[in-house]
Amino acid sequence: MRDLVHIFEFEELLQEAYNDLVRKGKEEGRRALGYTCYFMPEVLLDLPGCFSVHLRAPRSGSPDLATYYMTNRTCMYGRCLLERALEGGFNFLDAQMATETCTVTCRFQEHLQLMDIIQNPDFFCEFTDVPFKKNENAIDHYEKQLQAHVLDQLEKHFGIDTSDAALLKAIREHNELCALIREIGSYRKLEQPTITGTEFSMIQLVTQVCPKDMIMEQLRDIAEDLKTREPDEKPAYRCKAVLAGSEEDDPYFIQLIEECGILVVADRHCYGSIPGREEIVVKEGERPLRAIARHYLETSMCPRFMEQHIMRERKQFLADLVREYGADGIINCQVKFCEYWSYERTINTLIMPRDYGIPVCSIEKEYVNNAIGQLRTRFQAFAESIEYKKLQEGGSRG
Amino acid sequence: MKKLLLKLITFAGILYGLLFLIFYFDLDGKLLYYIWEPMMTRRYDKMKRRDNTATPYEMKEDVG
Amino acid sequence: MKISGIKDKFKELFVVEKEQNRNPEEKRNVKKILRDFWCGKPHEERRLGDLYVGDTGLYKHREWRGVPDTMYYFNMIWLYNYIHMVMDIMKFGGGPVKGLVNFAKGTMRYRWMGQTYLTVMHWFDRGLEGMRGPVLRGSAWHYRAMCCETIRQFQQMFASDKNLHGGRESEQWRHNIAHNETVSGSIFYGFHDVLEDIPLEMIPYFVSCHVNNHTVLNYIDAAQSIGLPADPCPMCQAEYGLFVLDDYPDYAPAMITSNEACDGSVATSILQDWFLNRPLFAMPQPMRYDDPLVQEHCQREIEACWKFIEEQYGVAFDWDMFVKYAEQQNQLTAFEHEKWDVAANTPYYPINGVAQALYRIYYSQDGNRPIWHETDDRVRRLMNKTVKNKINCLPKTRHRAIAWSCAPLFYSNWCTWAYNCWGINCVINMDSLMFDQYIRTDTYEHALEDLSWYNEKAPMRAMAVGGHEHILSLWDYMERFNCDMVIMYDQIQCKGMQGIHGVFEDEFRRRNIHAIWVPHALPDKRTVSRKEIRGIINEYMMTVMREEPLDPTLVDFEDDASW
Repeated sequence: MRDLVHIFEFEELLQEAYNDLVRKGKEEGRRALGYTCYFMPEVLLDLPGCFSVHLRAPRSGSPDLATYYMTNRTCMYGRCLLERALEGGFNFLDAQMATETCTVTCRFQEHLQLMDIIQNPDFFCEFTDVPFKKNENAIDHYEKQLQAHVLDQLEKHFGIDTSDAALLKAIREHNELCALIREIGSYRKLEQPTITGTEFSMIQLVTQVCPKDMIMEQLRDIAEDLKTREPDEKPAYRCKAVLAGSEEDDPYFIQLIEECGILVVADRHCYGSIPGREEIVVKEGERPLRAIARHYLETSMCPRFMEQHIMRERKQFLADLVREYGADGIINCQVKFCEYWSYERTINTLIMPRDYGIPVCSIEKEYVNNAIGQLRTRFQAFAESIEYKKLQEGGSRG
Repeated sequence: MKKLLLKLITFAGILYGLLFLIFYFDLDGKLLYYIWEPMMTRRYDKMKRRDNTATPYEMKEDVG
Repeated sequence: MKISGIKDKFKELFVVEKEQNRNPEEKRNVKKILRDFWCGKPHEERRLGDLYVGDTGLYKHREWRGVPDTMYYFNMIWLYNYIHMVMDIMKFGGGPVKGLVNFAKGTMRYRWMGQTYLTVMHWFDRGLEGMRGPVLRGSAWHYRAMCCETIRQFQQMFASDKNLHGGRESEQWRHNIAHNETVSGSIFYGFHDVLEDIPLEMIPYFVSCHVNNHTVLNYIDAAQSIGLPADPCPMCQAEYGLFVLDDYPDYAPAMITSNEACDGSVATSILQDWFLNRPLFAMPQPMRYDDPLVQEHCQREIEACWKFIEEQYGVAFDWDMFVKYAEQQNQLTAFEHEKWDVAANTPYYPINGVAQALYRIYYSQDGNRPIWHETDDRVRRLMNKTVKNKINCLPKTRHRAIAWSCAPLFYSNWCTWAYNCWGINCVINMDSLMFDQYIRTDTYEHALEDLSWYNEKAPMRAMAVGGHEHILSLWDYMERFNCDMVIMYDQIQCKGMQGIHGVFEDEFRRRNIHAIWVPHALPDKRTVSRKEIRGIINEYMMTVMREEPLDPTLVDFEDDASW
């Protein structure tokens, strides 16, 4: 396929957390607000006067100092973030809007509170409590938390306008971006997709780590470009898969999968768009903050949710995704030491083939991908097994 | 009656003494360690068990 | 077997090696021999390590503690507990025949039962080694209470277990509530007289690790056999490994679970829900529990849990019943505070480190039961005596230690060893400080408010979540309990504690605190063995503290194969 417009520019923006657009946003006098989890609604951090940055630590090596603080038995994502912070890579942050949603990222953020790491006199770190259920009680609770620990803090520290009108505006802009991402992502549903998983992941990531208003034009260009983009005559992939799992902010990992002949057609993980880029609907008479709280709880598919029916619906959701995107299987990845996904991956690996007939490639990986050789072997074997299955099915049909 | 009582006391005394020997020389521990536990472990290892990974996984109602 | 083989075996099992280099004059000193016989040998001459049979943890003979203490141990601990175990089996099993039959069935069916609980007197032995006088008595009563409650729980399970009764759903089965072991028994006070709440993993997994840690290894391996990586908390692994091995009793129609105390616990529910395949109610506690804004949410979840029980079982929450048991629980809490006061400010505390830790976590997690009150009455009398008569209960104390973070379940008696070998008296541990909350019963609102606080301060989570200030409250507790040393448990699979490791390192150095890091993998002795744990403490005591052991035979010995 021909090169996608702006894709190299986007790739460049992902090379460091303090990228050109973040720099520009800061120069305009806006506040950069860091977060690590979907449960910190980015729409609230994108109010006028500030912008959200989903923290990443691209091009990380060995997080030695962070390993002293957090040992080598914790998730490397959390450690790499701490290492980057200790190196001064997050000094541009004006605040960290924290959540205690998984242990290690929580500890990382507590280090920001406890130690004088972020060299920015205005910096503060504020935690929000996030419920484990999706019921009305949970939405009430979450709404109160977001008001007290996000909106009130932004107003108090930076004088941000957090009125309903400002929220509605932020929701409108957010929805506009989400609609574009959904449109771009929809080309993955084609029988022969006209966008690769790697490209999509770069686009999706850029929307999370840059001031959104600064990339809207480029996103429109991409959406336009895709309308006329033709797939390769002979597909470069052998099968298609949904990538599910925990934290995944490295487009080169997806590139690795695709180099092995598996096209990634859907991204159901912490940095993914499914869920993540759905429209926020404000019901009639509903406070915008309430709508945001409801939206983020209802759309999230995090294994942190404990209600029995929700736990079980997650598998159905994954199966539906495979069908919707015409995938042949699931690559279920988990960053080593992520406890939620250790369990979710285990049950997915057993239930999805058994109850839904969907093959699963179950992977435990590090945040910094050093084990490329082993991963390549796993993915190639998975692609082969799917091809073999297809051949068998074709044979039995014939 | 007196004889019976004497017999009972003697029996109780011997039993008490025997129990003390079991206690002091840790004979209860040795019995459990060398005989009971290996025997039971063999039993549990051989026991036929359900394959619980065959448990159905259907959707459930919201219970609150 | 040849005669020489029998002789060797006899020697191995029963004969204690004579101490070399012993002063020959001592051997002839009749006065000393008589004094040692009557009072037991002085601490430094006990040579407890010589009593072990190889690496089995068995004794060639049990320790001679002097006539009064040996006879107390024999009569009031060994004999008393064996007899009461049989009586409890009959009492809690619904009568002698039924109780014994169910017990036998359970023993034959469940590994955690047959392999573990019959060895219970060795659990007493390990925890009470070297103890004398009031501390022997007080600690033993704590052990006795735990033993009794354990029997009550497994007999309740066996009586209604479908696996033992041909798949039949008995009336009792329909009146049992299963709950995760980390859901506090206090939640069920409003149903206490009409329903039986029984924690699902407390007896099959948690208590069993302490008594005989061989059993749990099967469950951990089973958990990993279906694809779970080895790194998640092994406690959670074992909790669902029970299901993989089909070794859980089916005694209740519904289950209550919670998010205590960590991500692993939340995630365990995913697999437990699958295997249990019955109505499951999740009752999570907020993470940022200091925040006044989270309390209402927590209270509503508790109420929703009660509603779930009402709907599932067709019984109503009884406020008067709740008040009755909550008030009884407050009495237990009040006595715990009395105990802490004595432990913190005097040397007259008649409970050793392991008894304190296990009893406290057991009863506070389990909730109000008559046995805890009986035990507290006995211990209160004993403690009044030691305080009144100023009896130094652990006279060889060189260091008063606080144990922080979660303890190695396979070596909870390390503190008994540490006292016997080095004079380290573990005065208090982190888990003892949990559930530190009275429940007001004057109004429903107050009760609910305090109950939610109570559950938010559950083991591990009270310190490990909700902000670093909780785990760093160690310094305040060190001061409060007059401790000069920290035993810093380093549960290598606990992400929460690993995630703040370096901050502790920095603080120990900055505050010039003697801290010994004790690595372990909770129930799994294969990752870090007991011997390795002792080695780390030995090394610190010799190289940093430059101290001599009180009992040199305890410095280096094998016990890898012990229970």
